[in-house]
Formats: sequence, C-alpha cells, structure tokens
Amino acid sequence: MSTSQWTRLAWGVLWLFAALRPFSVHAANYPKTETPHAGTLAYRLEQGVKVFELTAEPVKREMASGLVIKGWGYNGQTPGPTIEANEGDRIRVLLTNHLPEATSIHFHGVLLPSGMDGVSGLNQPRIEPGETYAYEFLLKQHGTQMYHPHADETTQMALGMMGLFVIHPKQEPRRIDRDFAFFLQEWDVTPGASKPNPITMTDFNLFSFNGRVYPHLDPLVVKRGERVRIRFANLTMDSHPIHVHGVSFVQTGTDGGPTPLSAQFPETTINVLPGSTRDFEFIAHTSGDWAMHCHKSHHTMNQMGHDVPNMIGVDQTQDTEAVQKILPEYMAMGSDGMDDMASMHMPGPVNTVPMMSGTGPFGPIGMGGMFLVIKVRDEIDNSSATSWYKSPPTEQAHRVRSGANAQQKSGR
Amino acid sequence: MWHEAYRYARIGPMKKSVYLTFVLGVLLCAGGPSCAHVHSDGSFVVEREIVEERTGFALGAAADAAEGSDALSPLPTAALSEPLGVDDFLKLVLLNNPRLLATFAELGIERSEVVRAGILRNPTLSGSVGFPLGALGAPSLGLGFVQSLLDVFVRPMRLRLAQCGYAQAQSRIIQTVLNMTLEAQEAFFQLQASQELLLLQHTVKDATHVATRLKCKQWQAGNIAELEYRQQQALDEQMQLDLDVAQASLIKEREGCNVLMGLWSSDVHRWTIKRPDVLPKQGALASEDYESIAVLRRLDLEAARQKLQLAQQALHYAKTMRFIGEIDVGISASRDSEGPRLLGPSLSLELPLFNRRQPLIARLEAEMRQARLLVQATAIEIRSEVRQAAYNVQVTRAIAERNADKLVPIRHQIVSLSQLYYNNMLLGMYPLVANKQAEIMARRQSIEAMRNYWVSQARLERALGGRRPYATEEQP
Repeated sequence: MSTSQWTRLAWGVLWLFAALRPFSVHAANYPKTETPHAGTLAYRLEQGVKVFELTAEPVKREMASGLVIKGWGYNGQTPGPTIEANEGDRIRVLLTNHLPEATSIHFHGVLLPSGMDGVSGLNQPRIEPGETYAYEFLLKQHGTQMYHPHADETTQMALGMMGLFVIHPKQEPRRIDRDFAFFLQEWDVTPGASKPNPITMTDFNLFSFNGRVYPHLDPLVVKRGERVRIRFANLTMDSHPIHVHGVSFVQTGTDGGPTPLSAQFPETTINVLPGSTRDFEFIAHTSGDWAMHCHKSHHTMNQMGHDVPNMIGVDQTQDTEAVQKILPEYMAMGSDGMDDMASMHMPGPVNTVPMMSGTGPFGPIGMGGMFLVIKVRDEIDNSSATSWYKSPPTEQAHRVRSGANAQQKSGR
Repeated sequence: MWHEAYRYARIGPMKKSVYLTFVLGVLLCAGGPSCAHVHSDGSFVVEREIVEERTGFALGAAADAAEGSDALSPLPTAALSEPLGVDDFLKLVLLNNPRLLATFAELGIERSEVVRAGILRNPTLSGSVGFPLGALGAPSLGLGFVQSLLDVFVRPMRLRLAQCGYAQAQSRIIQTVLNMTLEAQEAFFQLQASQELLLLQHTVKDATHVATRLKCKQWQAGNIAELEYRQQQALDEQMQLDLDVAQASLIKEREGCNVLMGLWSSDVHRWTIKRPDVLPKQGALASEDYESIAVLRRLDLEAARQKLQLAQQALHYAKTMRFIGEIDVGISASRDSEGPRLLGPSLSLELPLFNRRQPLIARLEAEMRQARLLVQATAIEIRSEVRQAAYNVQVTRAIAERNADKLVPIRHQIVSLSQLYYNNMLLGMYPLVANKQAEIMARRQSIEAMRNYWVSQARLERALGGRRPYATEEQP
C-alpha cells in the first residue's frame, strides 16, 4: 500500500475507533448525574484523593412556593448535595457537625472498612457539635448509594438528613444519555407550622422528590430516543411504588449493585423499599408529556386533613346558606369528592400549599407531592421546559357527546 | 306664741318673776337641737328635689298629694316608641311605678304627725245641773271653761320633736325609694343582657341544627354510623330545650320590668330595650375617698343620726320639763239654789312629787345610747358596703375588659384561621362550626361580664347615696 493509502487507513481506523469509543464527559458512555433541586457536591483533589466537605446543620428548605420547612440537612439543604465519584476513586469525606446534638455519617451500601461505616458507638465515637470527622476509603463498586446519619436517626432522618452517593463505573454496559437521581422523603409538618415532627411513625402529610413537592417540581426534559436512567433512594417509613407513564422500563440496579440482564424484566412501576435504592432505564421513544409519580394516591397530595368528614353524596345546598349566616366565607365542599381543591384558589393557612393543584394545558391537574412530568420532545430548546406537548388531532382524546347533566353535580 | 301664753296665764296681776319664768321656760323649750323645717303648704318640693338629685329623674305627679292627683298620669305617647336605655327606663319607673310612688306618698302620713304636733289641745267646756231632791228650791247650775296652759308651752317642743321625727322618716323613705331605683336598674341590666344572650343562644342553636341536618344526611348516605348521628341529635335537642327555658326566663324578666314601669294593657308589649353598647373607655373612679363620700351622703345613716338627734332632743326636753306638771287654767260660773251666782277663774296644777318623768328620762337615755350605737353600726356597714362595691366595680370592669379585648378577639381569630384550614380541606365543617360556636359563647360571657359591671356600678352609686355627676362616665 502506498503512503497515502496507509495514511487513509490510519485515519479510517482512528475515525472508527472514535466512533465506536464510548462517549461521556468522563470519557465514559454516561453523563453526569443530575439531581434536580439538590445538585452535586463539589470536591477538591488532594494528592489524588477526592475530598468532599459536608456540614451537618439546621436548614430551611423551600418545598414549594409558600411552604418552607425548618429541618436538618447538609450544606444548607435537604436532601444534601449528591456525592458523585467513580469506581476506583479514593475519597475522603469531612463531616463537620453544626447540629445541636451529636451525629455521624454512614455510607449506605458502600463496601468499606468497618471503622468507616459510621454507626456511632459501634464503629466510631459520636461526632459532637463543633467537631469534624474524616472518613476515607477506596470505592470498590458502582451504583446508587446513600449517606445518612447513624446517631439519633429517627430524629435526624425525619428532619431531612440524607443525600445521594452515586458511584459511576468505568463503563456502562449500555450508553446512557440522561441520568436523574431523586431522594424520596416523607414529612409530617402541621399545616401552618414549619418544623417536621420526628415522632410521627405513619401519618405523614408531605411527600417529596429531592425536598420539593408538585407543582413545584421542575419537569424532566429529554429528547425522543434518549436512554434515560432514573435513580430513586428511599429512607422513609414507607415503600413508594414509582410509576412512569408512557413507557415500560427495566430495573438496572439497586444499592446492592447492578441488576443482571437476565433478571431485568419490564415494568411500569417499581417499588422502592425503605432503606434501598432502585435504578431503572427506558428509552423515551414517544414524544409527549408523561407523568411520573408514586402510585400511593395519598403520596401525590400535599397536606391533607385526615379527620375531615366524609361528605361524598351528601347534598349540602340547602344547608350552605344556614352556615353562611354565621360563617360568611363558608362554601360547601366534598360532596363530589376533593376535586374542588384542584380548581378553587381559596386562601389557606400560612406556610401551607393546597392539597392538590397544578395546571396543565387542559385545565387543573389536581396533584401534589411525589409527582412530576417528563417532557419528551423531538428537539429540545429553551422553551421545552415550560411548553406543553401538542398532540396531533388524531392522537388527542376529545369529546364526542355532551352529558345533559354534565354541569349538574350533587350538592351544587 | 309667747303672747298667747301671757294672755292665758294672766290671772290677776302676775308677778313679773312668774311671768318671766314662763317666758324663760318657753325659750328653753325653744332651744336645743333643731330639725328640718317642714313646708306648711303641703308640697314635697324639697323631698322631690332630693330624689331628683340622687336619681337624676323626677318623681311622678301622683306621689304628691298636694297636687291633688291620686291617679297615674297617662304616659306620653313617645315614651315607649324608641328602644329604652337605662335612663329612659329609670325615668319611667320614677314617673309611673305606683308602688314606688306609694312609698314616697308615705311622707304625707309622716307629715300629718308634724301638723298634729303643732296644734294646741282643745279647751274643755263643762257644765252641770243639780236638781234638789226632796227640798224645794231652784236647781243649781255650773259652767266651766278650761284650757291646758302647759300645752301652750310644750307645743314648740313637741313641734320640734315632730319635725325631727319627720326628718328621720324623710331620710328613711327617700332611701327606700333609692333602693327601689337600684332594683330597677339591676332588673334593666339583667333583661338587657338576657335579651342579647338569647339572640346569641339562637345562633348557637341554629349552627348545631345545621350540623345535625348534615350528620343525618351523612348517615342516610351511609357515610357515618347511626350512633354518631344520634349523639349529634341529642345535642341538638338539648340545645332546643335550653333555648325554651331561656325564653321563658326572659318573659319573666320582661314582666318584672313591666311591673317596675307600672305598665298595663297594650303598653306591656309596646316597648323594647336598647341593645347593650360597648364598654366605655373611661373606667372606675379609683382615686376618690368613697367612704367619706358615703358617710356624708347616705340617707340611711342620716336617718340613724336623726334618730339619735331626736332621742337627744326628747331627753333634753324631758329633763327640762321634769319639775313642771300639768297646768290648767279656766273660768267657771255657777249658781246654786239658794246662793248668789258666782263667776271666777280656775287654776289646776299637777304637783310633780312622785312622777318627775323618771321613766321617760330613763327610756330616752336608753334610746339615745342605742341610737348612738346604731349610728356607729350603720356607718361601719356602709363603709364596708362602699369598699366592697368599689372593689367589685374594679374587678367586674377588669373581667369585662379582658373578655371584650382579649378573649373574644382571640376566639374570632381562631374562627378566621379555622376558615383558612377549612378552605384547604384540612379541617372539617363540624370543627369549623364548633369553633364559631365557641366564639359566640365567648361573646355571651362578655355580655354577662358587661352586665355584671353595670350592676356593680349601680350598686356603687347606691352605696354612695345615689347618683353623682360622673363627668366622664357613659351609661349604657
């Protein structure tokens, strides 16, 4: 072969190599993890060790516009910022305690030496207020892990102390285009108050993704055809069956490690158990606006009164006037369900958001809590996050017949 | 007067000394403590003025016998057309309550005693005829005319004592009128509060009734069990019963006010009471020496003092007249059957040898000691009553203010907050209504506290001897 042929061959081989080479910011075939509303913890390199600094402290968290809670967290937020590192990294976490009581930090699911496991009293002394402790270990795995306290956990976790710990592999078995991570949280915050009650065992009233509730959760905007991975972590008292509309997905990992291909079966709902993480992946093959939410219906409501009387099917029309004589602002509610809340915008107590709200292109959505929208678009631009999908007419549900009593509901 | 004494006592030439003794005696009797002067024209102007000054209102004409009317005047048409405040009510009570006016009219009875005391004893005319039995002859005739001379001298003393007695009765009777006025004030405030409380009770009952109707519908729709509905229903029925009882009580209180205003026939239904106003800003009269004011103004204490004066005066007169007995002077004419016709003066003197008014003096001394002690006792009781009344005004005022300025606004705020929670479906309809009912109950308590304050004000007024001009105080 001539020199020019060899040159062309070399360039061709190089081009082939570049084309086939896995793509990623980290020179791998996956992107950085996006933790909406929480972000990633920056690190510094010290002699090849990634050093992460965390401060455990009381925090204020805006869960929604008009709802701020006073919890405990890391680096001014709950959940804490995501620690993101790679398998094979040596990392050092410096934890400073600015809480009014002792704490520690445990790296959930991470394979590390016993002395770094962070169970106060067992693996280490408690970290007293004002102290800083150092944890250092080599990452020998990849997957979605968590960090959380292991001193007075009932209080500290109930007040919001937790964060994601994502360990990337050198290479993903399949190329990932988008990677999102969410921490599931449950709270009991009395409407009108702002401090979560750590004593509550079962009767929670706020359910959040990364410390935010719908309709104050940003949509996930992905391009049609992208492979999307979503990670969920759960340190609440309940399991959360997370359901995604419009796709079927497969579970690809837990906090125990990657799920073998042979064990991956299609699902539309994945149950994230307390004390575990779940990763799943899907191809966003159909453009549109797709809901993703916990399928426990109370978990897609914001603060709700559990002692409200059951008025379903009770005609209150004749009684409303009588009540208004002593309570002029009174309006009958509940005769036809709770949908009144979705559309009415009546003033409520301070630091409280309506039980269900949110507006879409066709009217009130009437959701809250663990609910957000995945927007799959053919092309992504600056307006994608705020615009709504416009279905072609043949793919749009539409009215074919009006009900004669469509506007007449019982009790009105 | 002493001229009359001179004329009656003159039997021939009188020694100057004797005459002077009589004059001196009269003057002595004229001395001693003096009492109130009674109008001789029969009117009760002074007494009316006292009542008006102490109550702020004029007595009805029917109380005054001198004006000749013994029937109640018809009420002016406009008197009952507007809702009555306490002043309007008291005005009508003093104008028209026959029992109160009858009490005042007792002054006429007391005054008659004064008139009686000022009248001299009537002279006595006596005559006799003697027919001779057996012997012949003309019948004998005798004629005599006698006047008590002592009565002339003691009349001024007697009159003074009667005037003292009248003054005491005057104080006592006016005090009774003031007491009746206080009772009327209390009855007014009670009725005014009861009316308002009943209105609020109706509202509470209506709210419970609505909740009951909804619970019934919930039960019929299968949303709650019958037990829950029946519990609500029992509450509803009990509230209705309480309302019926309160209504009956209100009728009774209203009738009491009808009687106080002296109303009958269609007038009993014609009047209404003003709704209570808010508490006035200026408060009680904390800096005054109420006890001193009370001991000066209280008519029952005055009556006790006057009784002591009466006893002192009577004792003085009794001691002065202790050595003077009955003196009767007169003229007699006679003719016997054989003798000449005779005409001449007569004189009868009682000699105070055994009875020198010792029992009377002893009795009067004992009465005087008793009266002195009763003045003290009355003063002590009045002072205590005033202290207690003044304290009650402060306490009831503080309670009324705390109810109106703190509790009721907080309850109202609870309702406002509850409405916000209800709007967000965080609170059900029943606790919302219950919180409103709690607000209404706080308002009821506030009304009762106000009533207690006004009543304690009225009692302080009475304890201080009747209404005084309070420059800054407003009345409901």
